[in-house]
Order: sequence, then structure tokens, then C-alpha cells
Amino acid sequence: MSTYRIIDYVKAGNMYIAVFSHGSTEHQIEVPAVLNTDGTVHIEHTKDAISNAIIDRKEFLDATAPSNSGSIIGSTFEVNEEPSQPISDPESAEEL
Amino acid sequence: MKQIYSGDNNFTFDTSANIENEILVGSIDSAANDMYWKRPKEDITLLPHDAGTEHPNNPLMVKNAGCHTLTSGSIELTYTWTEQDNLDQIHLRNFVHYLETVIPEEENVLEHSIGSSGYITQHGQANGSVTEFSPIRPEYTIKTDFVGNLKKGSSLLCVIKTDPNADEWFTTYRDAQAGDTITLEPVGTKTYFIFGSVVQKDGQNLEKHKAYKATRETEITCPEFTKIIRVHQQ
Repeated sequence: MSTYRIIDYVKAGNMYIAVFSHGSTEHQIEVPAVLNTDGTVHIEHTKDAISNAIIDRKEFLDATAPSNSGSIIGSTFEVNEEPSQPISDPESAEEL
Repeated sequence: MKQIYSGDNNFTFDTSANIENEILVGSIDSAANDMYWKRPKEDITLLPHDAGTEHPNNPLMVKNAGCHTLTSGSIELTYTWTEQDNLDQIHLRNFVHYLETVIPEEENVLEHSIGSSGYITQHGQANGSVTEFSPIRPEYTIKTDFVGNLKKGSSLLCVIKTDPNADEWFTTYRDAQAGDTITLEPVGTKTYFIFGSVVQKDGQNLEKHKAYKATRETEITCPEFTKIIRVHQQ
């Protein structure tokens, strides 16, 4: 079971800063506090929110880069004269 | 991807699906009102799909965009020119003859006034009896100003090839009459079929204007007149 340590609280935005280890590196994450209706911090819900954020961050860190992601690094391209047509995310077609 | 030419229009598309970054399928499923789409003659070469390539025998006729199909209802297509365009009237009449040949149904009324200035108007219905997959009609347009008026309640399908290797892809269509059972076969390395109305496979409905990938021979039944669009990779 991994752990995290809360190292600071930032008043602007009611953010907690937590650190956790993943692999051989220590990472830092900022997570909004969960507040009660009277403005106090709901400790247990905030701990859950920080835990969930760390799980998401770990998944992000573990994600494999697309095989061709490096293919355009170092290349120079022309900027289009006008914005391109917005296009939705690709979707697979259903099998007929 | 490059910008897609949109011209001056008030078309409101109901769907726009990016299928595997290879084709963009847009549709107006039932036009809420009359809609127009204008394309001045200068913009022909901005259209996708090698539009603007000259016909071998008539330099006034050029390849159409080849991506729009009326799937139900009616549309009015009008080509206009003025004296300043200095167009060859033989070539204009040749285009009229071409339209009569490729869109022969008597409901598709053609009217024209051909002179140094003039117009050609096609009142088109969603119909046809093409039984082999063929280029979307009309395959050719002419180098004049153009406006298309889609009538309220009509439906239109637009398939734009967005694969960077677009020249490896081909869009064709065929017609199916009400009650027809059609066997569809995959062609080339990848094949999509899109139906202009709801069709049935094994008693299940397949959606109108939705792209389906075909990997094996499939039999469909068309309860009503249907435009079947096939997009395949070489």
C-alpha cells in the first residue's frame, strides 16, 4: 500500500499539496479541499479526493506514449493561414 | 487536417462523425427549413476530392466534389453565368445533355435558358435506379456560380475523405428500391457502407446516415428507397 504526505495548504482555491512516490520519483499534486457547509474542511472526504487524484495521476504516469509520438519532434511545419475546421474525436465504425 | 471548404451556406448538420480519422460523415437528417449552399465559380478548386479536374471533352465541365448525396426529399441546383463569363454555348448545352443522361428520371426536371448569360436549374428528387456502385451523380459540374437549395424535410449525406492519403479512397453509390434485398461485399483493404434510410439486417435496423464497417459479405433489406454509399480503400 502506498502512502502520501500532505505538505501544505494554499488558501487561494483551498488547495492541499500532497507528495507521493511512484517508481523511483517523488511527485507533487494539488487537490481542492472538500468543504462542509459551514466552510470547514471535511477531512475524510478530502483524504478520499487526494487519494483518487493520486490514483489518476499514477495512471497518467504509467500511460504508454503512442508509438509515433516522437516522429514530429524536431520538424518544422507551416502555420495554416486560417484555423482548421474543428473535427470531433475519432470513433470506430460499427461492424456491419 | 486542412480547412474544409464551407462556402456561403446556412446548412445545419445534425451529425458529424469522424470515422477513424479516415472519413468525416455529416448529415442533415431532415432539414428544419429550406437551406442554401452557394459556391462561386472561383471556389471550385477549393472543394475537396480533386474537384476542378477538367472533363476530357468539355473544358467547361469539371469534376464535382463527389461527397454530397440527397438521400430523401428534393433539392434545387442552379448554375448561373453572365456575359462577362464569356462561356461557350456549345459546352453549356453539352452540360445540359450530360445532366439529362446521368439524371434521367422524369421527376428530375431540368430547365434552362442558354445564351451569353443564362441559367440551368435542376429540380432533383431523391430517386434513381443505379444498381452497380458508381460515381456520385452528377460526377461533373460546370465552371459557373452555383447555388443548391435543399428543401425543408429533405435529407442530405456528406462524406469527406480526411485520410492524409485521400487518393487511396473511393466513394461510390448505388440505389435500392423499396423491398430490395441487396448483398454488400467489402472491397479493397477497408470498406464502409452508409445508408440513406433505415435498412434491415437479420431483422435488426441499421441506422440512417451512420457509417458501418464491412468485413464480410452481408445481406440487407431496404423497406424504402435507399441510397447506399460505399467508401473503400484501395
